[in-house]
Amino acid sequence: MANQPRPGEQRDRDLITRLAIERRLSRRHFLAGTGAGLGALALAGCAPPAATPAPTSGGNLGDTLNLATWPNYHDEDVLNEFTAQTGVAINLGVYGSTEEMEAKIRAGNSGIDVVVPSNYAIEGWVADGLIEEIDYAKLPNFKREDWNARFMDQAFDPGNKVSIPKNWGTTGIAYRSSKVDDEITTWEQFFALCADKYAGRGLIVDHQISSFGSAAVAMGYSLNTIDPTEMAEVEAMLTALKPKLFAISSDVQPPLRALDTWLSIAWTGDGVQVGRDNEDARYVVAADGGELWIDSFTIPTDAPHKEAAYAFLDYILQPEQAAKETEFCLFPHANDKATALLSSEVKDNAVIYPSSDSLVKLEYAVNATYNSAARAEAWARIKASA
Amino acid sequence: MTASSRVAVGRSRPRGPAALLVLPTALWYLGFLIAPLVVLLVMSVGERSPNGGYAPALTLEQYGNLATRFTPLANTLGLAALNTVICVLVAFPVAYTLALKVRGSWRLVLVALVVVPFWTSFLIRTYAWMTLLGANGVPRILGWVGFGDVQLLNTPFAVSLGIVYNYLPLMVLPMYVSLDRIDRSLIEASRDLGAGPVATIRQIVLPLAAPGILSGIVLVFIPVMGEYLIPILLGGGKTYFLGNALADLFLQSRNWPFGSALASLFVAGMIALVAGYLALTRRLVRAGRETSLL
Amino acid sequence: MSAAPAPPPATPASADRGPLPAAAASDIAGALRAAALERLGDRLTRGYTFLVYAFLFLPILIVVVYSFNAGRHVTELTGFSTRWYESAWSDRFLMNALRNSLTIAAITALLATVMGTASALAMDRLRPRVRWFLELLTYVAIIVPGIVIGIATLIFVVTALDWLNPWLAFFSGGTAPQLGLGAASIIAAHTLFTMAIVNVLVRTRMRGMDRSLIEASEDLYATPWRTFVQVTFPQLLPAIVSGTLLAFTFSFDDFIIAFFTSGQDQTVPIYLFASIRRGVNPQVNAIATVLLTVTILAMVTAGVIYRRGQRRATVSARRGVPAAPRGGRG
Repeated sequence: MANQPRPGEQRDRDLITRLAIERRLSRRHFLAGTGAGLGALALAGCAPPAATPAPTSGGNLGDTLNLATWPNYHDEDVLNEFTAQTGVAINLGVYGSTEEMEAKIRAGNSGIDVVVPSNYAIEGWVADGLIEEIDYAKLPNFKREDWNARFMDQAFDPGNKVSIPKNWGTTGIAYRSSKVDDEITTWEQFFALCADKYAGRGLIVDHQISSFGSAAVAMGYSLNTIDPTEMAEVEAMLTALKPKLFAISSDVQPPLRALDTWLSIAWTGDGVQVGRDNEDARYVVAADGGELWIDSFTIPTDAPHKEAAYAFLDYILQPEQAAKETEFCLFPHANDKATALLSSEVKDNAVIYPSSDSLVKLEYAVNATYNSAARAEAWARIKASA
Repeated sequence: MTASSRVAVGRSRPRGPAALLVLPTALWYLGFLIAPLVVLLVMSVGERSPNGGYAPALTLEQYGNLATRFTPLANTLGLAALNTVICVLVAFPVAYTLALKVRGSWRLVLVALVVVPFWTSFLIRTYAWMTLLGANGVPRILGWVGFGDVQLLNTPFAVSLGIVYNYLPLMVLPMYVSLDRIDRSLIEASRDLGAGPVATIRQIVLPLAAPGILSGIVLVFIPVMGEYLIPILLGGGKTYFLGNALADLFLQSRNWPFGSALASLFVAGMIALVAGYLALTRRLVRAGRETSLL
Repeated sequence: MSAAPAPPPATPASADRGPLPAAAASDIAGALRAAALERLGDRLTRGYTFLVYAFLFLPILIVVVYSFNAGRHVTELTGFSTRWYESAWSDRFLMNALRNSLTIAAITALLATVMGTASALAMDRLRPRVRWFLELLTYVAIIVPGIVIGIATLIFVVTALDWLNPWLAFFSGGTAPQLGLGAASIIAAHTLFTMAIVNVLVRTRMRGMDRSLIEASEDLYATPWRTFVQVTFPQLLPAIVSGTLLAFTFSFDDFIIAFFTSGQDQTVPIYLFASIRRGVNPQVNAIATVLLTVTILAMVTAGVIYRRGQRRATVSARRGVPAAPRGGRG
């Protein structure tokens, strides 16, 4: 279970964070699902800066930067350009989930300099001192006014003390209309089709938040549910579904492209990247809800190349570079200047930059969901079932 | 070590240099086997800290939850045993042919070819099977001949295929080495005494080949029990092995104590299995050489 | 592929083996029938063996073909191209991973060979109880699944470093670099397992060894070192060499232990796993083909050297070679 609120916390911080969540969660599920999250949020708010940044030798960036990030997320040219400018080679580590990144960071001495977790992990990382407070003085090119207010100063990191967004996106449904003759619009429909009409052809990602959460939405619960009864129902549904799936795997693109799988849970960029090469590929944000997320750059407390990490963030957050990255990965960016620089093909693509209306029902996953031992175990049990 | 060979070494020698030669190995075992396993044991009686990881405690709670991982255990044991047997059956005729039917330099080439696949990287071989078993591979060909909509990838069949494919060489080689030592005159004698081919195989070849077969079984069974990649890549995460369940607990749930409990039980189970197997085979293979693990 | 019931392999053809026994001569028809049956059996086992080889090499053939395919995806065979070789060669991270893998495998093989052999030689001279304990640990090191070794090493190393790093910093006045996971922890874990394998192989060989030569050498007052170099070592060499090769291969190809203990040092399997995850990357086919070619070349070279050595030393007792006396071999 998540942290219990400690006595003597700042009341107003509590209020702000609560409002921040309430904006996005329907009240019923908020009460059921995220009560425990408040504690974590509040705790994160009052936690001291994780550690005093280690004094590093100024100017000397070293020759390596270890970046822990997601597959198909960075434009190689942008990274190479950074290396050309600074002499710092970027060692790219690719992870299938935030949990895997955390496993390395939490073990300690991981050697990672910059890590790109999703929003829901950050409070826990701050609470346990895994990431450090960003020294904005070391980011001369960072201009706060360029950033879209919708994605800054979020409940998980008020004031962006420890994190700066890279890209954001949705967790939606990707399918190949040449094989799937239904028009899929909701999670409920998706899971029903996977279980019956397209048995053996559906894929769910190996990602507790996205898969368990979307299944919860399909059953009418919150993405963030940690209510034991609701979770038991979701677990029963997914356990029964598992044998009828094609796979539980975060490698969405290869089977979708090869038509091994016809319908799949997917994140924005995967859906768009497959759609660019296949006319019949569709990506939809479910009408009954689902996940909205932000991936952010953070710096681990024990990062061995901090100067290089700051130099890298300062470089990659510039609108020109951010725009190039977005053109590559096709996930929307939180920097408006960067968005303005995009080709109209990307900028005006309603799948990449969906209308605000379609996002109304979406929720951010919260730290309490992510850190819930019961939910993690439920997901692990589903995967370990027959 | 038998008494006889010990007698052969018999003279008493100073133990100092011997201890010195063993020291690095002993230290390595201490630092990278005993210490890590002790840490696992300690963690297995702990608790998951609220945000994941380990918090000190003294509880057997984790061991109480182990029953929830029965399916991966059954999958692992069942498929490891089944595929080890399949490996024996597939490999034996090959080893037999190599050792007793192929002559001269061809034999050297063919034996070397058994080893070659090992050098293409486990992941790349398995990836090639993903392509072959995927919708654009064998199922498409089956579609042309009228078997539409056959799914091969991400089935227990694909997992078994991947295991047999990847571990077959480990079975062929020790079998070949045993069979190669067989004195052909024994086979001839058997035939001359009127034994049919089947009887000759059963009474002469198999008993002499037994040490190789037993080594092969150990060489295949042990690593298959710890398999992680094949169930992921060819099983689509559906045919879960203990290794996968274990990795999940450390990488996804961040439940180190539960993971440690599962790992401890896994190690204990493996030791018990192998010890039992050795005790059994030691009785079976009296003749010839002494048994050892490999 | 299933376990096709093996056709009963027949006994060797008898034509070149002297006169038929009297009993068989009395029934020539039966003998002929048996010979025909044998030939059929031979043909079946050969055909079967060929099929198994086809099975072993089919995926490898696919890899080689696609390494020369111009298209990016396996679905499109668009023409011959060496572009993936060029891009693999210029991929800094792939080359870096290759360098790391080769270094790690070489060091592992060296450590495993030296320590495994040394301990195998000395173990028989230890007190029985100590020896029993070391034997037990050796077996345990082989039995513990790789994934458990990986996880346990990870946890143990980070725990130990948490304790060690502050002390290092303290004694060096803050100038010592933070120690972390990396090539060293991979080598530690790989060496544990491979050293145990070398130990078992060498000890098994020692048991089958001709002790009279050692005794003769000792009786002639050779120093223990000379006895070792001139008598023991040559006899153990095959076991040591196969141990070294096994250690190198295992270390080079290991994914799961490196996955947990690598820190930020990438190895080829880790790189490959990430590539597969990212989707199709035909560069990996090119790398695999290069590795394959190098292996086959190395084997051919070794084979040539081996044969030449054999020809030169036909007289010497070939104890190193696991070859049994064979009838009808000219």
